[in-house]
Amino acid sequence: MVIELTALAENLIVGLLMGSFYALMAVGLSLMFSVMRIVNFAHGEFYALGGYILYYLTTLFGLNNFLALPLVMAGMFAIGLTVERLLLRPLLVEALGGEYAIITTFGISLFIVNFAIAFFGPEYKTPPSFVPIFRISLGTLYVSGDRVLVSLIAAGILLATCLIIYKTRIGLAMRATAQNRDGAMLCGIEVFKTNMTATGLAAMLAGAAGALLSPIMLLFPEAGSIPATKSYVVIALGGMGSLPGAIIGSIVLGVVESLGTVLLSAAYRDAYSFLVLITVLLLRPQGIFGVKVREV
Amino acid sequence: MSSKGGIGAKTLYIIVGLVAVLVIAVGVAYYLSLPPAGQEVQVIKIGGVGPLSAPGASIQGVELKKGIEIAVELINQEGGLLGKKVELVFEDTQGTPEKGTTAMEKLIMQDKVPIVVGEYHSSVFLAEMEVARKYGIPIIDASAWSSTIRTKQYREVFATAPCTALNAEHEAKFIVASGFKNVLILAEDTDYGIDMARDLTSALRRLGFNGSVVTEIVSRTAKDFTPTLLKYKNLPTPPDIIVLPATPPAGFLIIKQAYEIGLVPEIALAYEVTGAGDRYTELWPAVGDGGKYLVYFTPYSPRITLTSLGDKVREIYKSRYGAEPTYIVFNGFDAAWAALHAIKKAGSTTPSALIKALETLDIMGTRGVIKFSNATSPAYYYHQWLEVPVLTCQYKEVNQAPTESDIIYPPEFATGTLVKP
Repeated sequence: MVIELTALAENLIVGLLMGSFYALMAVGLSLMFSVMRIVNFAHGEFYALGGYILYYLTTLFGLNNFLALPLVMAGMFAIGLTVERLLLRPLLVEALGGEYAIITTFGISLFIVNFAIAFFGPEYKTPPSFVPIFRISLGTLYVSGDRVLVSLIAAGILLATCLIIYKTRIGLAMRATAQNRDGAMLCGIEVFKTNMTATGLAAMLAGAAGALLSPIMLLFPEAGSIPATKSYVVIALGGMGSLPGAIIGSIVLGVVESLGTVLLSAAYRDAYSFLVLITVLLLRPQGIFGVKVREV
Repeated sequence: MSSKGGIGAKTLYIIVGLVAVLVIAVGVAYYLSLPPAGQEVQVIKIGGVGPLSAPGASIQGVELKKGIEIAVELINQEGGLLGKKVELVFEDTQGTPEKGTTAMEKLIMQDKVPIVVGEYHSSVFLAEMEVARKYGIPIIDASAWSSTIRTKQYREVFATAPCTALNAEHEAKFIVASGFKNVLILAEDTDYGIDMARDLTSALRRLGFNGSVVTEIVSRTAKDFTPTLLKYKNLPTPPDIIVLPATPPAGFLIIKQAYEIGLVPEIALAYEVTGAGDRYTELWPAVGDGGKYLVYFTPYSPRITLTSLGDKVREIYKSRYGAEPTYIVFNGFDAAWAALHAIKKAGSTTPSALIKALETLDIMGTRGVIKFSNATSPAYYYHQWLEVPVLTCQYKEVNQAPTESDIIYPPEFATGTLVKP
């Protein structure tokens, strides 16, 4: 099948846009893993929760999406802090290990899904769009204008997150904790406070992704499961705990899925990401940006 | 011997004694509730099955039950059957085959029903019909659409609901009559989507359609379908109609994204998921302007001309529940109506007599005369009500209600014509 240049360009753009959404999810997941060594299985549900908060702020209170978004992020940050303080910290204090954290985050995931079914209903909801649907046409090439705008907002949030991590004291504390938890404590870093901030930031990013994407991708209680699955692929692809790896991994994933669909078949769209993941892991088991760790 | 802090022998005897008294009391109460020997039961029970709670589609299950209840109520107002009142025993199958099997066993073995009607989920009906077959009890499929239910050709199984192959036949007729030449079927990767694509393709071929028919399977769980849609938009000869057997949210997302990339409304889009197109309170917020000119298929439209019985059912439903009945209410009613009239026709509640009565039944339902076909080819015709209406409708305005959208096919029900922008 001969693919025209226009089709290739359009799909490349679509892939890049999707990559920016995946990155928003994956960076939060990666941040939490690097700082706390916990894989958060409720990350997808934080996404859905962000979408629901936006939905009710805009439909019940009539807020504009642009005003509602910072409130969603603030709300999700607070939820993240609460989850860390009440549910995750006791595990770390008691040094109960990763398997307890897996069970706990899995429990949080089930709780949020069932809470959403009971209180928000199982049906699909569509929050109002950030801007009305419009098309950007560049000759014969069409791009969805509202998606471009939303992905620009996503890029802005990612940039702000990177600035927090690389240019602030709390960011320094997070990086230090990620590098060596005991060393960070010896240097006077309040590790639990750092954990709390990392969980808050992770929940905030997932919530922002949900708020930005739910007007485009619809909202329902299990809406976060697919974005979360992609995020797990992304952080393994980019290197566990690596933020640049999460961003690059997301873009690679978005583009591979998009081009795979058009060049091969749409039926195996979800398989392409795993194919890339397997290839990368065979050639570079630590992921694209991961570093080999030797423990003695 | 009792240990310190454990239960003493005396306490144990008291507990055992209380349990024994309780068991005897329950047994006596049950015995007293039984009709005296020799006294004939003064009601005829019919069984109902459907999902009334999660994980089943409980909203649809409740509507189905309401339709069946209205049928039983009307027959009782006419004096019942064989000189007895009719009682509905309805079991919640929760959308799971295991619950469906248990419900059927209970209805047949404990409640002794001679006939069962209902169900919404095909997977559950497929399990239920096995139980019906085991006991030789007739069962009427009210709203489960899998063609496999019909193609198994069980003598005990009848269907007033349309099946996917029958829908495909209707859709193929609409496509041919509307003059489309290049058909793209975007089907979800489930039994439903894949079967529908296959059935539609073969129905088109049977009708002598000589245009192109392409099927693309898409992931039901995907959220971004633009790469797939762009592939067809950029073809030298793009399709002139896209048929979409993809349940929500995937189906709604495809409609929305097809509009975003400029594929529709220039190319006609027919939403195949029969009945989902008229779930307009969910559809419109999800698809926005992409829904203008959307073609959809439904077994019922408020603009359809009902039979006098149908009008009566509609009025009862509206006055009781304050809303327009959905197609599921009529599906439930017609299935129960057929079952009740089979008992009347057979003059008995013997299952074999009921099966014979159903095979030759000819009664007026809500949307036409209910007759079950005895043809065995094509296989899905067997024991199927072939004339059950399947309507093609079109939204011509954004946010249009199904009550205002035109029926554009078949001609005998049409209130308008297909608009191609």
